[in-house]
Amino acid sequence: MELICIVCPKSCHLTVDGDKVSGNGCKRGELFAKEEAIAPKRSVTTTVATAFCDFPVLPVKTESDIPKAKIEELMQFVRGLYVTKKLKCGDVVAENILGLGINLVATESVFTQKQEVSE
Amino acid sequence: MSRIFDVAVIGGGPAGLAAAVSASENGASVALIERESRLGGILKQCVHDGFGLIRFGQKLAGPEYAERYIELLKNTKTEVFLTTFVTAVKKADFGFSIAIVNKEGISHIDTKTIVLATGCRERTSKQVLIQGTRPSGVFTAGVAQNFVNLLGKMPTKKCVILGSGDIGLIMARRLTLEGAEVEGVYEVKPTPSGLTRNIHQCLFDFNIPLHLSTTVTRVFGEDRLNTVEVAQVDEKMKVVEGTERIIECDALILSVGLIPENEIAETLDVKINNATKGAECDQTYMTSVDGIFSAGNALNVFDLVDYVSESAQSAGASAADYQGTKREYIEIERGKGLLSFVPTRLDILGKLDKVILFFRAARDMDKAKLILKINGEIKLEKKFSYLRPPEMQRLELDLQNYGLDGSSKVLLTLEEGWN
Ligand SMILES: Cc1cc2nc3c(=O)[nH]c(=O)nc-3n(C[C@H](O)[C@H](O)[C@H](O)COP(=O)(O)OP(=O)(O)OC[C@H]3O[C@@H](n4cnc5c(N)ncnc54)[C@H](O)[C@@H]3O)c2cc1C
Repeated sequence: MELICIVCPKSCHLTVDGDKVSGNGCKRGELFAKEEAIAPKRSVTTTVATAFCDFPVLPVKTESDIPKAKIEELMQFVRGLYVTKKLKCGDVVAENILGLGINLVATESVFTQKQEVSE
Repeated sequence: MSRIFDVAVIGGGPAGLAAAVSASENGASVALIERESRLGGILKQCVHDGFGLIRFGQKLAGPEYAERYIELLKNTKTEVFLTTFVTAVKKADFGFSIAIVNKEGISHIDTKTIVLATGCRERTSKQVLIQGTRPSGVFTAGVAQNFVNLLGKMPTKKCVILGSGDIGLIMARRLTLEGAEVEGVYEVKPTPSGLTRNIHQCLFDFNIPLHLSTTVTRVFGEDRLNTVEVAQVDEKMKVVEGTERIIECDALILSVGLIPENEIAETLDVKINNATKGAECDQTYMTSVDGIFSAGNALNVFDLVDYVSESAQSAGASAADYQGTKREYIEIERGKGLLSFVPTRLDILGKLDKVILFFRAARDMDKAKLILKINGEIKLEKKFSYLRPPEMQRLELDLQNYGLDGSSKVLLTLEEGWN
């Protein structure tokens, strides 16, 4: 199987043959290829709506990669979230998303002049 | 008497942040000037990840990367001027006087040296020729990114993307995730201009088609765009008749490249390099004007933010060290195979043992060899298994033992084929 490594911008051209990987520039590429061949995973980055009019959306990411097939479902779930606290970069926005054992975390600190909103 | 800073950094994106941190750490008094109300530059709207693999050994989102640097900045004594716009820069006997406008009115910041870190801007529809009406609904990928990621608003339900630059690819994925339909990405050239990994993870992962050698030929719509026409082009970029196709959509998103922002540099008569479209600079990132340094995407569209930070860190340190010592320059000649590189010139009286060279190949090359010639003699060769124009390369060179003097001719070329 021929793959393009998406771990870093080098975009190495990988070949997977059984459990042999070639074309990778580093160890991360080998791991990526092995996983991609069986169960592809992606990290997902998006934004969550907030209650702060001067900071309407908070950037977030999945703490680690989730199955590619779950991305659509994750986006549905994220659409239902609403941030009312002045979260800091790295804070958990939602725990154990879709039961995957992975948290959704903020990738920026809420930047607002407004008070925290109670739910 | 008013105060004179050692270094004034213009622009508070990743380049400006790194320059300010490093100038401070090198003992300089520093002013950091940013026109927006918060620091971070374009990274604020780059919510996707992939930043910082080199600098922090981690895959960070854009705002996360920016926050790391903002924290580093807080540990320095840098004086930060937010919501402050630089209108003009004038030479003065002590260095430079920077005219600024902010909510306190019009004033100036005096400084011995300046680091220009004003970033880059996107090419717009003025720079690509499309016929038809001028309805709303034609905007750049960066504008779309600003809408979605900072304002939380969707600018389109169904769109066509023209150009395969990285921001366009990133936005194709982003808009798809948010429920819009991206009909396709159209690239007039036969090869994509974005990174290969972005073609895969942003387009192919979401079944978004990439049409090479195809362009948008016409746009239609009264107030709002409602239709575009696309067509294939031949090797001479001429439209192939009979290949026209009509697509209904409400937006045409342009991702046709970035160019360094040189407005301030030009008023100072800083020489601009033909290849990078940014300032000419030496190995310390000083431009053709003494005391003016340039870094980040204002100097050269680096793409990779890690390289932006690295160049700016050096520029900041160089500005802090600046004593007005005499320099003697030789230009580095750009031979065949190279699209662009920095530094574009060498100060042969300065340090030459660790020159960081950033370069891009002019075209896709397999088994490429970078060759450095001095006075016609090959001094250095470096092999690469393959090179692609979108992927900038970084190389550390030791040039101190080649006896460079004012009459030396330094030539860089890229050749294909080695065993
Ligand atoms: C729309 C867009 C999207 C991008 N997306 C990516 C991406 O996904 N990944 C990636 O690696 N790179 C991306 N880039 C490239 C990006 O520019 C660099 O990675 C990085 O942000 C460059 O840092 P910088 O500090 O040089 O410029 P910037 O981040 O652009 O910062 C420049 C700063 O200077 C300020 N400024 C400009 N002029 C003045 C003035 N006259 N007075 C005061 N302040 C001023 C601006 O407000 C801005 O904050 C993108 C570029 C653009 C334009």
